[in-house]
Amino acid sequence: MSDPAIPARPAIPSDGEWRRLHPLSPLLRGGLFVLVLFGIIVANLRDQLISLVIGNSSWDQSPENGGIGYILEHGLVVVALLVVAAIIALVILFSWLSYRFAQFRIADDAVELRRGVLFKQHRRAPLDRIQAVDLQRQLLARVLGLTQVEVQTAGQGGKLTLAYLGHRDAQAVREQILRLVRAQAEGAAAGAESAGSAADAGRSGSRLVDALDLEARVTDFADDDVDQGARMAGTLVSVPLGRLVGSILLGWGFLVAIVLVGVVGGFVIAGHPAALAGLIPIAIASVAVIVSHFNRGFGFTLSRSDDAIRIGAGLTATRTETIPFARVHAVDVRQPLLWRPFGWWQVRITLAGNASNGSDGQKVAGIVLPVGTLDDAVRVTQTILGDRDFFAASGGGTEGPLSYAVLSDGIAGAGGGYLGAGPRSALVLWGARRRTGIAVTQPGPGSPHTLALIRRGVLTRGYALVPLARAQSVLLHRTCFHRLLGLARVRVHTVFGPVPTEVAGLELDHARRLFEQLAAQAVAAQRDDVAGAAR
Amino acid sequence: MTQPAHPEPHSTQPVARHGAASETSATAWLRVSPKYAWVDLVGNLIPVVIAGAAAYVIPTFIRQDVPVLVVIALAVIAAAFLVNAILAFRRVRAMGYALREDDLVFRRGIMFERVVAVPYGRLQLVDVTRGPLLRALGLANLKFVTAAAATGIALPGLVDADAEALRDELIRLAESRRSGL
Repeated sequence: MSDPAIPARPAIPSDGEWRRLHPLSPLLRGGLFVLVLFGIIVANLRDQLISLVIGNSSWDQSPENGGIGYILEHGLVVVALLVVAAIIALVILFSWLSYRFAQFRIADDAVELRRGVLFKQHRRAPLDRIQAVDLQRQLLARVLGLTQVEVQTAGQGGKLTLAYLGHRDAQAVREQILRLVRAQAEGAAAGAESAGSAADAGRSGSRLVDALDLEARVTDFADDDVDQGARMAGTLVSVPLGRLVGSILLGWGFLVAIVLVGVVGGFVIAGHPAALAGLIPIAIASVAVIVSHFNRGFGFTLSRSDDAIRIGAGLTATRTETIPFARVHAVDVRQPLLWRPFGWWQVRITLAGNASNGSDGQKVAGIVLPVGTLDDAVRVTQTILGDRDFFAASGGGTEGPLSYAVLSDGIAGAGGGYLGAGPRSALVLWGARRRTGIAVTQPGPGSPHTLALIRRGVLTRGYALVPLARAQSVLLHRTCFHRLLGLARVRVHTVFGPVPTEVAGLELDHARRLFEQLAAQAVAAQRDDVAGAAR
Repeated sequence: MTQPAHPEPHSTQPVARHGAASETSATAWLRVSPKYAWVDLVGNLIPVVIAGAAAYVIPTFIRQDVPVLVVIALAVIAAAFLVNAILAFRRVRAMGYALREDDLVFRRGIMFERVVAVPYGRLQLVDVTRGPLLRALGLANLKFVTAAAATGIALPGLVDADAEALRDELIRLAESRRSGL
């Protein structure tokens, strides 16, 4: 067990045996408290340190010495140290206790996590509700060879987090859960044959010594978690570093930052140096945005398996997501203004579940291609919405509704065959009038979905694809100016996500017909979807 | 798309749109209870009363030299709600819903028309709520929730028994046409 080179570890069956998390996880979770405590002490000692270095004895004259000065004056050093030691001991004790009480298991019908010493929590994610299993690795966790497994379910906060497991355990647990989910979806005897084969999750209790194996740590640290089979088949999209940097420099966020800096600079030159203070929040926000973009795009890879795409990215903290196709509710290909000379595009998706709720800075979710050429964007779109691997097929996607010709014309071309905006729509759409359009495609070769295709935008150009089988409802709306101009908006409602699914400025007559068409085809597509799932 | 186009797309008569000439001519539009207009009316009159009271109380008891802008603002607010209140009956008449074969259609709005079609299979839950005013009139609100927050179908002011029956009917339809998320 102590030698990670030996592949044969006892397989963990999915018989509902309770397992513990990795023994180092309390260190990582409790370690934060110790770091904060350390930070507070250092902040308080700052004056003393400065006076030590500078060498004058100003500290005993200054009344604002804070707690440390008081402690030193009253000879309470020993007491203070004892208090600190007691706090650290308590933190370690609680971490250890929470570790001892945290257990998870992968049963035949659900993944379960029990934790809590005083306040017990028992969280259960039924297999048929699991949307995806993600791996997340913060920098510190990577150094220790640990990985956090997030089992995503639909719904707000519906997430079961296993923090932390050893990296290989985490991968094995993910494979095991995904296999069980797949088996259950297929109605097979769940887990019967999947239990023994590759379920490689060792008993973490005896894996402490692994953490000391430096070679294994380095391998795990560098592991970008790309499926080896996919890598061999070359079914990958990746983002070159130069293009990633370029896309960030030419994105809207950076442009706005530059304009703001210019405005502030103007004020300073005009004799208002106080305006410089305004730079600080701008700088902080810009750096945060740039770092997060960079981290999301660094080392980005996308690969395809039978029923899901897997994306991974990250510089300091890495994250791997597996997104089942059934979870994709809309796809959006977009191009900010300054990307146009380079022909770069970004692909985003709307996902069922909570993933696109971007409070978690590390989430790759929503973006399935940070920046790529038109070719990349078309292929990613085909991969997500098509029913076969356009990537692997040489010269794939030459026919059908998702063919290269159709998609590239819709994304970047003139957009033939789209229902365009109404005659008086320039007042509500401005420059976007030329591009605005919508079309509905029927299922065809390589394209199993009935899709609504929506072109929009003038500065940022966009192209949204919505499988009507996933649409929640259809809306026809006449807002103030639309009403005056005899126009209407039509929107396909999807679950919450980044993809805009509205087409504005349609002639009322066309809009009403489109509304009826979309409503009828959504119903038909959903009926087929159910029939297909039952097969 | 089997229905003929709307014969008078620019018509501003909400009643005409609910009649046989509607673009969804195959469907019979059901109305919410006309009594709901009183609830709507009261809801819009309360701000009018508050604004009127403020316009009286502030100059009389608090300070004499009220800025003209404040008075104008209060008057505008009161007028807006008053107009809104007057439109209550037309607004409520303009609300309609239809249970078609595979989806529920709901429409509302005189000026800013809004039509939503929701396949029954998309139903996540149905809410029936009653406020004090609604209870006094024997009415209930019915809310139809899907996985998309924007769908927002709320049928206000249904007769109590209708609301209960509609809820059970919707759930039955949703069960028979379940389509997951």
